[in-house]
Amino acid sequence: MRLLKLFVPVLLSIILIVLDTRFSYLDNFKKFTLTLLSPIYVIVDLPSQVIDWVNDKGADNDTLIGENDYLKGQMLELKVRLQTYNNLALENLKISKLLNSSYEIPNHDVLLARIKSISQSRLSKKIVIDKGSNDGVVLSQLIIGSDGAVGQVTQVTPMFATVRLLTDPTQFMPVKNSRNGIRGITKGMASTEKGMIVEYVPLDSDVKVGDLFLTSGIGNSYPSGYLVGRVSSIEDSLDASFLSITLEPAQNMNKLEMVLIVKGKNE
Amino acid sequence: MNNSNQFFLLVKISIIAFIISAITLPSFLELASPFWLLPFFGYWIIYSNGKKIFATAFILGLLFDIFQGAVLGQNALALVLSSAFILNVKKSFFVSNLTTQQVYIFIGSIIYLIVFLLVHQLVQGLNFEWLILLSPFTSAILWPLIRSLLAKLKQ
Repeated sequence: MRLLKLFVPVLLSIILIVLDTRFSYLDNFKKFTLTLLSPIYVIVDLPSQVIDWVNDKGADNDTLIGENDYLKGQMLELKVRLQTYNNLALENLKISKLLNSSYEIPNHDVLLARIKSISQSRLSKKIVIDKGSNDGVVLSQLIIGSDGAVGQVTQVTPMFATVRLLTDPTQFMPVKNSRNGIRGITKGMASTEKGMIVEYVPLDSDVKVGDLFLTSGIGNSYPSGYLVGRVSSIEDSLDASFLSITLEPAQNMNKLEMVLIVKGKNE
Repeated sequence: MNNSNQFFLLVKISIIAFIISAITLPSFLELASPFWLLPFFGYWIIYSNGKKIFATAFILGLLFDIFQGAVLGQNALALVLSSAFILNVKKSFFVSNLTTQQVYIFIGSIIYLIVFLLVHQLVQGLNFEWLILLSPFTSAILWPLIRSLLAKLKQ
């Protein structure tokens, strides 16, 4: 009798594993249940909220004035850089028109989010952010940091969203070489914390160490033109059909505090 | 303990296990940390006379899968099978000293780890960091602490 009692949940678990990996019938059930469980994140985040609140209240006037001056200086510096960028963008637009190129500088709406928790599961690399469907976050949106792409939204609840990092072994992203447009697909590596590999780049392709890879926007799932990583090593073997390219992510995933949710997709 | 007390103990234990597992740790610590759900649920199996253990393990594991964004059924299967072992040694658990209890928790954690990695292998291919193999050891080492914490919760 006990064996039968054990057999039923084991069988159900196996059925669910198959259903979840092959089909998406259970997505709504998962989303609903995750919404019910999301208050746990509020509890987990409570100590850091309290510390932030105490720090905010405890900051003296001089510190705030100093911080304000520093931020004003930073803003001025960024405005100057933006002028150069705008000139370059105009120049780029003219050249693109002359060359009949379809390349466009990314210009999408973004939403700022704070990171709540990092890597909840030991075999996957994920973060939880404090914006959810109430803020307009939807599945598959691209997440970027100050230096480059971070990952993709994989779960959404009204208050929170889970983002799978680009360095996760199950995360794939179509990319292109910024120098010559050679396309490939990135995949995270489990063995190292920060590495990615680029798959499906043919053996005779022109790829050099130091080349930059950007999101390509192929498949219309991601906006194109965001920096993903820099080539750190290339190996070509006669036995293989494709180059083995390793990318160093542009964004340091360990130093993330705030991220931007890119709201647009390629039209 | 009556049924409602057992249920409330299970709810409290589950919430604590979920909260602890959601706390951000440095990556090496996170990999080597215990599969928190097992020792917590193991305590409930041993120190309460709850029935429908496997059904409860299944539901709890399923909730944990959703909470962690894991493959649905992965933690559920691991928890059901490791609970079967804990249930099997339940009687001797009471009369055992702490070291023997740690050995039982260690074996239960190994079963959990094997099932967890097996499902991971079938779904995503076997690419994992070796530090995860330490988790049965840390489960066993932390068992006295978990037991005393939950004993206070039970009172």
